[in-house]
Formats: sequence, C-alpha cells, structure tokens
Amino acid sequence: MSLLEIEDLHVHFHTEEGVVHALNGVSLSVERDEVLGVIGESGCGKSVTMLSVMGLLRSPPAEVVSGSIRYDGRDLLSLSEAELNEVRGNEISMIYQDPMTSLNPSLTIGRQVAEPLLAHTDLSRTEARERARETLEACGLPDASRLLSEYPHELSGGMRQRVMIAMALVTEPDLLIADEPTTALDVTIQAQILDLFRELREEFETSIVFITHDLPVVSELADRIAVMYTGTVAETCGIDAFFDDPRHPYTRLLWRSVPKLDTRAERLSVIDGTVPDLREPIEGCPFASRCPEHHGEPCDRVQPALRSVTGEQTHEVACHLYTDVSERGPPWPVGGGFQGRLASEPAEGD
Amino acid sequence: MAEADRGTADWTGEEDALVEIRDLKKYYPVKGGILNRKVGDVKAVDGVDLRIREGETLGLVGESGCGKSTLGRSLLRLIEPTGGTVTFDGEDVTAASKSRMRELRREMQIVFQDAASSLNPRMRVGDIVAEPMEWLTDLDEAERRERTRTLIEEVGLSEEHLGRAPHTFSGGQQQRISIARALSVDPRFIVCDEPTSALDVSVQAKILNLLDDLQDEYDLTYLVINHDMSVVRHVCDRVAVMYLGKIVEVAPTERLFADPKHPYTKALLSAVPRASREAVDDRIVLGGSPPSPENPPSGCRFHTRCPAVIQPEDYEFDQAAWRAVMDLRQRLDEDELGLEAIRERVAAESGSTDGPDDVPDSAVRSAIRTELGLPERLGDPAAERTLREGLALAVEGEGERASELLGSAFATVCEEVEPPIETLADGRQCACHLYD
Repeated sequence: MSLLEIEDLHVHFHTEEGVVHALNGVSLSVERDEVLGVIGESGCGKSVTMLSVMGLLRSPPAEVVSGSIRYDGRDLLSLSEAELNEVRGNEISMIYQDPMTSLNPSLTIGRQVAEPLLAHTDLSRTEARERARETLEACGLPDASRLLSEYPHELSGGMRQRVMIAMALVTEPDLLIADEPTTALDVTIQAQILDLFRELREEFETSIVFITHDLPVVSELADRIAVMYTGTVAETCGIDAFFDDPRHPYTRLLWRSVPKLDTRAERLSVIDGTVPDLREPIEGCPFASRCPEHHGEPCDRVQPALRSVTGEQTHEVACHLYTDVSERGPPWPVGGGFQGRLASEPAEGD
Repeated sequence: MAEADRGTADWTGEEDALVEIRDLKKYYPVKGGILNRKVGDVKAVDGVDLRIREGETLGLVGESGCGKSTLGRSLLRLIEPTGGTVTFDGEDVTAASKSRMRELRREMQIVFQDAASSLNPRMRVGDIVAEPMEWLTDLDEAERRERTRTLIEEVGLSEEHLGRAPHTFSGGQQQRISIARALSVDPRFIVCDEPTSALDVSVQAKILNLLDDLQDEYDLTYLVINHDMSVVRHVCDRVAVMYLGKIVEVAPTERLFADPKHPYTKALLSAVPRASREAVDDRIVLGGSPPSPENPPSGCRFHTRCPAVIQPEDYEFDQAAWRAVMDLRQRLDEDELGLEAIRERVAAESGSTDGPDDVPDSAVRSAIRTELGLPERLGDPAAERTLREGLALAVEGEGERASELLGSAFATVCEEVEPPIETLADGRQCACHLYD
C-alpha cells in the first residue's frame, strides 16, 4: 500500500468570475521512503493538490468535488477537523516557499520549532525545546542553543528556510511536503538546502513530495516525477525515464525550453499558445490546443486517462498517442536517449 | 553582434565602449542611536569598473544583495551614484544636467523584473507604451499612436490589446508590454533587470527569444542582470560576476563557463543544478551566507568563504584544514565561537551528571575541532602547536587573545590586501590573488 494515494481528485474554486476548475482528476501516489518530484508551471494545480492533502483549502471558495485522498489507509477527506489536526503537523508536514511570511515574526525560533511537539506529543516544554535544538542542529544550523531565543528577522534567508525545515521535521513525520522550498534562495544557498534534504532523507527516512517549477532542481533529488498540467497529471515516471524517455509531448517541450548550463542553443524552444482558461470545464486533452502532436477528434473530445505505457506501472502517460482511442503512435523513438538528442537537435516548436 | 561570435569573442575593453563605468560607488547611509546620526554605510556598489561595447549583451550575475540591481540603476542615474563616473557614447552621464539627462533617457532604458508593479494599473496599455514618447520625444500624437501600434505587434501582442488594462494580462504579456515601453523612445542601450525571473520556464524562453530578436532589429546593447546562470549562458556575449559590491571576474561567456578562474565564479557555477544524473560529488558548497555589505571583510571580500583561500607561507596545510582554521579564526574574531553551547552539548552527550562547567577542557577542544571540521591533528607540527595554543586560550575564555595569536601566526594575503581586478593572459579580467 502506498503511503499517500490521491485518486481522481477534482477541486473547484467558486469565484466572482465563475467556477475555476483547478484540479481536473489528479491521481498521484507516494511510496514509503520515496522522493516524488511534482513539476509544473504556475496554475497547474501542484500547490492546490498538496493543500488538499493537508486539508488547508479554505471552503468556500474551494470545493472538493470528487476523488479521494488516502494516507496510510485512512481517507483524509472524511476526517473531522480534530482528526485531521492529529495527522497534519505530526505525520504529514509541509514546508512553504517563502520562509519569511510563514514564520511568525513575533515569536522566537525556539517557540515556533517546539510548537508542533507541544501540540502533538506529551513532551514537557523543556523536553520539546531540547528536541527543537537537536533538530535545528540536524538541519545544519550552528549554535542552535542561541538560535532558540532569536527571532526570524535576525536570520538570513537560507537560515530561515533551514528553520522551516526543522519545524517540519521536529515531529519526525512520515511524509514531508515541500512546496518550492528553494525558489526564494540564491543558488549557493539552494545547493546547501538540497544537500540538507539529501542528508535528512537518509537520517529521518521521510518520504518527500518536492514541488517545483524548476526541472534541474528536482532532478537532483527525486526518485520519481509527476508532471502536472492544468489540474491533471500528464506523465509520471522514474527519474531515469524522465531524463531519457519522456513520453508526453508537454514533458518533452518543457525539457526543450529549459536553458542548459552545459550547452548553448542558438534559440530556446517555446511552447506555442497559452494555458487554457480554467473557468471553462476541460474537454478532451487539456494540452490539445498547444500540442504539436495534436491529431484531431480524439484529442479534442476525450480526456486521455493516465495509463501505463511500458507495461510497468512506473511509467504512466495521459496522451492519446498511447491510448486505443486513436490509432496514431508517437512520432519519436521511445526507449531512451532523449537527452542526447536534445543536445544535438535544433530547436522545435517555435 | 554576429551570432557566430556569441560568447567567444575576445574583447579587452581597449576599443571604444558604448557605456563605460569607472569606479562607480553607491553607498546607503546607516542611521542609528538616539540622534539618528549616520553610523556607517552600506556599500552596495563599491568601486566598479565595467565597459559595455556597442551591440553586445553583457551579463551581470551574483547573489541577492551583491549590488547588481543597484549597479544597473545607478549607472542610469535612476538612483544617484555616490561616486565614480559613467560615460555613454563618450559623454559623462554622471555630470549631465537635468535637461540633458532627460535627453539621455531616450538612449538608455530599463526593463524591470516585476512587470506587474512597473505598469500603472490605472492606465491603458496603449498609454503606458506611449508615455515615454510623450515626455521624451517631439513626436505628435498621431505619430506616437502609430509607433505604439507597431511596437505592440513587434513584441508579439496585437492592436486590440492597446485598450486593455495591464492586470488583464499574464506575467509574460506584461513583460512584453514593458519591453514595448522601453523600446518606444528608440533607445540604444537597455538594462534588463532580471527580465524573466518571475516567469515560468516556457514563458521565459519566449521573452528571451524576443529580446534576442529585438536586439538584431534595433541594434540594441543590453546589460542583462540575472541570477540564473543558465539564462546568462544562453543570452550573453560576456559575463561580469559580482560579489559584495565588487566585480570579481569578467570574461567572454564561453570561456567563463568552460574555465572559471575566480573561486567565487567556480562556486557559483558549481552550485547550479545540472539537469543531469551525473554525480554531484565534486560540487563546491560554500558555507554560510554572504557577509553584510555594511561591514565587508578586509582584503578580498570573498576570503571569509573562499575554498581556495591562500595559505600562509611558513606552514603547510591540507587546503580543507586551512579553510577550517580560517573559519575558526573568523568565529573568534566575531566572538561567535558559542563556547557555552559547546560545553552544554558536551555535557549532555557525556551522559554523566556533570554540569557544563565540569566538562574537561580537552573534551571542549576536541568538540570545537569536530564542529569546525578541523582534523584531530594538523599535518604541519608547527601549525599544530600554534593551533593548540589558540584553542587552549579560546576554551579558557580568552577568545580575544586566541584570535590575536592565530591572526598573527596564520595571516594570509587574502585578508590583508584587496586584489585589484587585472587582465589575465587569456584576456579575461579577474580580481584574485591566486593569479597575481
């Protein structure tokens, strides 16, 4: 059984400008001791998915229309607020993108890092404080004892993010959800934080969901990748296949539009068109209007289901190039070597 | 410049530059105390020399707070520089009168990172794009309207967008509008301050391609400020690397990426995620964060974090051990050894009922060594003796004396002399004592 299993999740937002179809059937699973990288551009629903897991969507405007979220066998969507409070912050915790706005500026670091322990365990204040100090130290913060009595504004951005990570890990959760944890940081600090994630993973044996829009960052950490587009999962596969054998046209185009550090392209590939308006229900494949492989009726009419393309459950793609709905197959060679071709081929799609 | 020359062309800066920056400084006063008097300066830009040649794209990279945006803005006099000069096409911009400055603004424009907040939400797109022409050019209204229409299509939008308000556009489209606005007065030089940092990768690609097309069409010269090394590699002919208010290295893009010379450039490049599965074992991970520009380190500003910091002549260290010795010295200098915390921890870990004050000094000394990554024993016996003496003083609470002792024994040129930026044999410029 997977640690976390999201199935066919649909979430709508009821706004003044109409119903926004934020999630249109998201299916994802996270195994024990696994790092799942969730990739997608702004508005693809990656954060909304994780906020639904945490039960942190405000309703209204949000409404979970259908689907299920099972964590360790329990259906999170049917839990009461009190039951949910036992799970989040304790068994599942979350790290947010901006450490400045998610730390309370008027409370000491010690108080904030110890808080989840006081809420979820029987530890005394002194014991909780000691545990907080140990966790801060494990997160590579020197002089943790002194840090306990300092305030967030006294720390640098990288240190604050370490504090956030310590806060999330202090209860030794089974699942850690990190929402763009390095996006606000400089590269040299980002490198420190990615190193820290690697070490912590060894030490705490925590499963991690790492949400980002940055392909190179996630590829350093993740075992498996899920690519999201307009509230659906377009492709999910192991990290090797993500590099060498991406199957969904969107994943392939996304790779091409990333400027590479090692090679210099004359021109960057772009993805034509824009993301569809989520105020309209999605009909057919959500990527159809921008897809260079668009082939008529099936793409416009039937939303492709996520299905296994290699015979193994580990590589699933939602695209009619791989379904029975249309007869057409993929025009590219499948089975590896994508990165090599990427470096030598001229840009496409511009 | 010709596409083929991109990023490889040599240029020592001896030829005529379109923009020439000499010893540019921008200090911000720090006020404090009950009288709110000036107590110091934040030296955001501290003596920068840089030349930008006509038609090229010069990249300016560095971490947040290094002064790159301040440099971009003070060279346009959007903020007044504290010192130094900027010449544009031979004319001293820093000495220009107010009315002359207005004329010069037609030649030099800027595109900001956050397009949304740089577009007036109460104006229609057409008026936003036309506004600089109204203030800075003699074009009449019909001519302005005509040019606005041309430009909006040039940046990939259409005429029907002109009547809409900026908030109805996506981030990428807003950046297109601000590019059209910058182009409206037909400038020769544009500072692009993180033009794509707020955008998704597929949108970023479009904006970068657009900037590239416009450069060809309008013979533009760019200064591209960016923290993303992959973007810089893709768009720039030459790259300048900035650290704490100073330029540390300038080189043609390909040369910089293939063979970075300055230890900071090396670390910066090494920190970039590679998008490949190759091992990241040889990554240089810098410790700590950049120091405050209010009180920058002496000598070379990077010496407090530099993995290649130069060793004193009289001793022989393993480089990692030497870095650790420097870190110890720094902690002592700043009185940040955290002796009490270390004592407490040693006491807690010993498992006995001893309080922190009962912990033997020897245990504290070895805990300090472990924490700083100092080996149990340095290879050089003379160095080891001095280090022991210093540690003993530190543990006895004589941190200041320890600091003095280690400081005089283990002095390095990096902390004493500021390295000037010099031209190396291959034509690049670098400010580092390793290449003296």
